[in-house]
Amino acid sequence: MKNIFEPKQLNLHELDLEDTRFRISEFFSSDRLALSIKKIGLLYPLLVTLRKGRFVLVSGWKRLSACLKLGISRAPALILDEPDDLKAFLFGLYENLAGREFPLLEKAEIVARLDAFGMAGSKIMKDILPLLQIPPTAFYLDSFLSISRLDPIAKKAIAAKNLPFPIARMLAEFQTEDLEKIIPLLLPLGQNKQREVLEDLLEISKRKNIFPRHILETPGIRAVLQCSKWPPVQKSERVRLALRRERFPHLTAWEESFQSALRELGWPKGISLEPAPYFETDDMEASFRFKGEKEFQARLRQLLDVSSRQEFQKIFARPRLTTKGREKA
Amino acid sequence: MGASPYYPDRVYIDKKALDFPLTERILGHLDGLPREIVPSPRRKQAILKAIRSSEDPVGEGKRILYLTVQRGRFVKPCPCTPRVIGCGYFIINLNLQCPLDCTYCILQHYLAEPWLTVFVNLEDLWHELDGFLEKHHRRAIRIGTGELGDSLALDHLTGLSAELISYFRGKANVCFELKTKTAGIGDLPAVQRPGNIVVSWSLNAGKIAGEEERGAPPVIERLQAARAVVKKGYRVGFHFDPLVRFPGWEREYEEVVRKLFQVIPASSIVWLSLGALRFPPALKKIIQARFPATKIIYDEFILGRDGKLRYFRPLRLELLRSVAGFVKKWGGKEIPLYLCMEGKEIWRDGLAWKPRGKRAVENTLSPRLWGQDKS
Repeated sequence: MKNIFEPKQLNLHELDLEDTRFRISEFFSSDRLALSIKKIGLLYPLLVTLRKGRFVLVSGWKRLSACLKLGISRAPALILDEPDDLKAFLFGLYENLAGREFPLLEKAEIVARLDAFGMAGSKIMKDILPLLQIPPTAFYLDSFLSISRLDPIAKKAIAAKNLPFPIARMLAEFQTEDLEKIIPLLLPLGQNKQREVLEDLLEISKRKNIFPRHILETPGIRAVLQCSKWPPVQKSERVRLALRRERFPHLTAWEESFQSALRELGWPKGISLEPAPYFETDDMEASFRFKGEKEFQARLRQLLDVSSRQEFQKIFARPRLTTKGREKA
Repeated sequence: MGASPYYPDRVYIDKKALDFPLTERILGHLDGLPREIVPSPRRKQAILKAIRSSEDPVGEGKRILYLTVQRGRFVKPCPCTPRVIGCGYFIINLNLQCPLDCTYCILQHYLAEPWLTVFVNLEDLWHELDGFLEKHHRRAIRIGTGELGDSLALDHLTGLSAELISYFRGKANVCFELKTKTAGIGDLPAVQRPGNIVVSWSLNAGKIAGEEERGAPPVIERLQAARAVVKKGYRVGFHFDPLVRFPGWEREYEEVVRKLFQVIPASSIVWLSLGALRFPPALKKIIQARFPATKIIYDEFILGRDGKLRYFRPLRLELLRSVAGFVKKWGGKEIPLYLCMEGKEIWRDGLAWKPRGKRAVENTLSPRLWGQDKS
């Protein structure tokens, strides 16, 4: 007898809840599902199988959680007669696949379970990743396996903030001790800035051969983090800027010098002046909007006025490198 | 592989390459090595797929030699990079990939096929070169084989350098360059008045050569090889590319420049190029995976106009200007210096020269060579 589903009203106490070998969902809320079950009952039975004489849940962790929350002790279940873990897991996977999209962390768990149950990497790539809308390459396979091994603190953040794959993948490059310091810093920021902070931490840590957590313990950054007058978002923003300055000391010096020259000159508002990206060339771009001839001429007069001042030359001056910086390379 | 001559673990021979003398010559040097004739594109793809699915496709590919025929053009303009001043160089794609394993090597990312390829249809090459040189007979041409592979690393198997030298000698408007990091000069014939043939070496600071140029001989061995080549009658060139920043880079680069001019007379040097470390972002990931201990990719890199990561401009400039200064200090001001893949601002500030374009660079590099060999 193989793969026969036997329907049953299962006493939930018969389930071995310690056995989570098939579990893919961990960070979820079952409140809405509980409400639905309360109103109309559990329409989709749990999927269970027997291991060492006890029932093990294959699929339906959210449903089970909602039932337990409502104090329900018996629920409909299909009993899968399949002693092979990989095959049993695939039953659960295909059951879920039909009904819902998997969030990032669940995709990572699916890949990790298949790997643990002995499915070859090439088969996961070819047969499973496309089903999960993941490109079928070794890079993605390895990345999702790394994400599955993330510390719970990072997983909670990914689930809570719905962090995308590139950020989750970067988090997987940090150790738990680093993540404990990084995650609180990251959460108030938008995704682009989160990415920037992670990139900067990784780069600085590799350049200086120190742990990222130690970068966050340097006096300047620690002072920001310990300051009580700033809300979390401001602290994160200040740390982000400090990290950028650490990673790009010369570029930020040039940027600050340029901005300072504009301030000193009293550069007219409403006219933008931008150097070439990263100052790669000497070109600059001045631009402004105008509505008519008079406004256009007024802007030109403003430009002529600032360009005739002595301080105007300062916007072309750049800080020099120091020998000290050279030795530090 | 150390600095010993390269031998592959396995050879694949495209069915279409079977009847060429060069195939026979190469296989003659590889007697007893596992070999397989590749009968179809399908089989070729299967082999490549197996290489690519290995843990280190680039490293795996270096152990395999593939003999095939060039179906496209052998001669192409050097791809250079967008928005910079080029030097008008032409490349001959006779072999692809390199048995050396330098951390920063662009070929890890640039070439689609990871194995070492040698194109064996030399008759087609000579024919194409005849046409190419005929078409460009009024202009100075600098051309070489060392762009997508090392010019001499396979020479003990192919013997191609001698044939190429024989072809190019006496071609009045052409300068042919063999570019290498090896010391394998045994197959270069002694020549009298080679004139338009240049053998050039890629040089670096001792630390970079030792830590980041796996399989290449130490700098001093390269210089000794260059001296031997000068004694054979050739003129030589040197490429300080990529220049890398690291603690103490100034001292080390000055030291290698000083050694260079101790060993090689400045009058034998036809040109010297400088280029700062640069790489596409995708190569960075490959380097991280293949050389996890390297530090050279972690510095103040910005995304340049060509989409490559480059040192922030003043750092790059400092590096290029310093090494140019060392060359002038130890070798004098007569050796033509040029920059590889840099824009006009860096040329101006690094070399105090504002060439109007690649023709201007080419015209500066070429006359010195021909001016010395009009006999």
